[in-house]
Amino acid sequence: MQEQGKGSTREIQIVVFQLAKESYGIDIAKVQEIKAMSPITAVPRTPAFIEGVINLRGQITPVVNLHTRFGLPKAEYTKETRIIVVNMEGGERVGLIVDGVSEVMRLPEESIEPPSELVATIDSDFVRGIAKVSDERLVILLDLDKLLKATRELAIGAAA
Amino acid sequence: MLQLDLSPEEAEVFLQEAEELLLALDEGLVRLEDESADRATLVQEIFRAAHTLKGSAGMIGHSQMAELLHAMESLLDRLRHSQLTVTPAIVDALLAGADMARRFVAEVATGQASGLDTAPVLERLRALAAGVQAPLEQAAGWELAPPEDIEVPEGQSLYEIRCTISRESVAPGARALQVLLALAQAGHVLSSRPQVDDLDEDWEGDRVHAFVLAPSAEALQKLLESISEVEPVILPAGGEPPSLAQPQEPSRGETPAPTERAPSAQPAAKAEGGSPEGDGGGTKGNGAGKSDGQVKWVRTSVERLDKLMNLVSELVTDRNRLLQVRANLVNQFGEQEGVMDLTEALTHISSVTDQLQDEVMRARMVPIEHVFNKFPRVVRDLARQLGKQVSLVIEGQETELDRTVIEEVNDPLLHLVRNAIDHGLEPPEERRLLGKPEKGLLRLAARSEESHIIIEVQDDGRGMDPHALRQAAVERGFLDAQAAAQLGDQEALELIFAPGFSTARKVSGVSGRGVGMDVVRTNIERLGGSVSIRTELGKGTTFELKLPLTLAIFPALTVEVLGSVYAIPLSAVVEALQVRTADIKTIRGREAIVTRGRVLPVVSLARFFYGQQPEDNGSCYVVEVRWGGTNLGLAVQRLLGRQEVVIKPLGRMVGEVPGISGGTIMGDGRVALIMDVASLVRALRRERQSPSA
Repeated sequence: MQEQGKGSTREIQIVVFQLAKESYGIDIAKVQEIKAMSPITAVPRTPAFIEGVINLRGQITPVVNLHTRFGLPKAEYTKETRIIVVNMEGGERVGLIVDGVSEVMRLPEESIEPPSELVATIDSDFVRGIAKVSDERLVILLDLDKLLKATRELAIGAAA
Repeated sequence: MLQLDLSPEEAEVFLQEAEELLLALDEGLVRLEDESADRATLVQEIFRAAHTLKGSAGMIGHSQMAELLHAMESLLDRLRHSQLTVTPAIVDALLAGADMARRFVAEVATGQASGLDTAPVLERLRALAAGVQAPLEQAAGWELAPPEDIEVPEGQSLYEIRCTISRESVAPGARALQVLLALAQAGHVLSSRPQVDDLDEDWEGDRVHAFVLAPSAEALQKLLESISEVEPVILPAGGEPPSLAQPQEPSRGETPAPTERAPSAQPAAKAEGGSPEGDGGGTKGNGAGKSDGQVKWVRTSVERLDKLMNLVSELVTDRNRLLQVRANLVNQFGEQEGVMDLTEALTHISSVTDQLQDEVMRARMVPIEHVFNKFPRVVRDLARQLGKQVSLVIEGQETELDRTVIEEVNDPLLHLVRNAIDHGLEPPEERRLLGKPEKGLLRLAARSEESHIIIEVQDDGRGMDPHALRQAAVERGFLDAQAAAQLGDQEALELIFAPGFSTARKVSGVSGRGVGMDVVRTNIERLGGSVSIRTELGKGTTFELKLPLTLAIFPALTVEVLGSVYAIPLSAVVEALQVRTADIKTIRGREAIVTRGRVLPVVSLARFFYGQQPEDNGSCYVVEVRWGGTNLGLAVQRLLGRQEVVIKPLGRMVGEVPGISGGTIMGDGRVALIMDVASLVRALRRERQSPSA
């Protein structure tokens, strides 16, 4: 990876969330806020991964179910379920439904390894790398911009 | 980079003012051509606009623009003092000047010098101001030299006559002869080219040049005007010829004012005495917009008004929320004192919010004049270009609508007007044969109707033929013969809105190839409006645009579909009926009910949106909506009520959803979806046409 060449003390800060028993991480800079589940208005005639829209302090914000998006089995909502509101390129916001948010974590760049299909259960296109947090624990780092862009294209393609 | 000495704030003030003045110029100049107009007042207004704009241009240091406007002003000054009369050539030159001034204003807006060459326009303006025909148009062919050493008898003057014979004339020789005979009748022809003897059936010239002694220009004018296909120009030729070097100092002799094709309604005024209403030099400083002492105006930016409107929208949402909270409290605690206090305060806040919304909306309202104003010029240019004669009638220009709507309505209107002139109105010869007046009528009218604005674009031209449209649709592969035959007349007319559909027999540069009508409809519908057509073959066509007053906040009927709340804009709703589900019949594979003796097709929203049929509990509601001339019933489970809704986008991630235009936040904080009847109907049509439906 490119980053490996540059020094060694660079760190990234990520929000770690759970999805189908795996840990994923996204760059904290993209995260607007983390919300408990709130009433979602389903929007008909949209792809299944568009869960609907919510009222985010007066702004209507679309919500994507990451389970459905990644083709993982759909989970029941629990009290752990969260909506992570992230900023898309271009400034618009999107909510991502995840099974739970566990922590904010600092990671040294060099702990990130290139994606491997053996580890990730999701489409490796959207994986930026795998961070080995401990011997036991791996965090899959998502390439959020790429994921959202592809999701949007998919949604719009489905509507047409 | 354009080098001007002004701050961004100053530039903004300049641009705002310049825009208004340019519009006044354009509008005034076009109206000036109308022979029935009060030209004296108009010229005065145009002069002031040019003068004020010149001052502003000078103030910001745009010397090129100031010079141009000075030349326009000089020409206008001579018109103002009746030293010249209005001719198409003068109006053309002034419009050319106004166009160039507009480009200079654009320079200020962008800060980019455009390197315009003002010389040709300046030359034209100055030549006209000096009483000489524009060299561009009239220079060649008038070589006949003025007679020398002649005595002008008492009571007579020497006139130079320049008559242009239309190139379309089949017998130019006969026209030329008529001209010469008329001149001989009105006065004494000193010399002419051609002469009477030169003329025969084979003569193919296009102009008659003559010098004539006559008692007055009016007499000549009158006779020459009665000859068709001839454009007469009468110039005074006696005494001192006007000098090019002194455009500002016109001669004030007893010579009648130079008269060029002055309409009989406006006789060439004489410059005798020379003192025009004593305001000759006194108009300075009386600029547009400064004269009103009664109403106090404040200029405010559009952004500020938009911000205000957004804040009001938030307030409306919160008010709805509070009303919901109050209702919950009443349910929970009954009508206790504290709750009643809340109710009282809420009632007041509610009414203040309504008034505030009303006022802010009104502050954003702009008279449609701002759009209509451009049309006299557009119509004039198009008519010339297409060889049509058009008399434009504008009505209801004071009708106000929201700025956001105004901005969006310009292009669709432009398109409809173009179409009307290009395809609707017949050429003058054809109209004559049909026994219609040669001048076609184009009517642009606006009026308000409840929460709508209706704009009509009407022509008295050919009208549209549903049969021809059906045929064209089949020929072009839009429909098969059977489907075409089944279309009602109104539906056949709607074919023109199909993308790529055009009935223009020839492709003209003006209307394009029918790409426009579908865009017109899409644009109007995006605004929550509709377009409908009324037409009568041979009598003309009227396009009616129905537009909401504002886009931001509108009343809606809220309904429930399978547990979800939908808001249907009240502008689309005709009525709501409770019906027994047994009364919904299937007619030719489509569901419909019979109401007031007619068949109303019904669509179940549950089925359209969710592909499900709701539980049948014996009855449901049908909301009748109207869209572009079609009525449709929407079956829903419950009616919830009427509410002001603030429309918000669903976000790019959701994209376009058929039948839905956006969302709104309800009193309980949840999001309700707002229905888009137009796109629902389109989706239904698509689905019906595709085999899977």
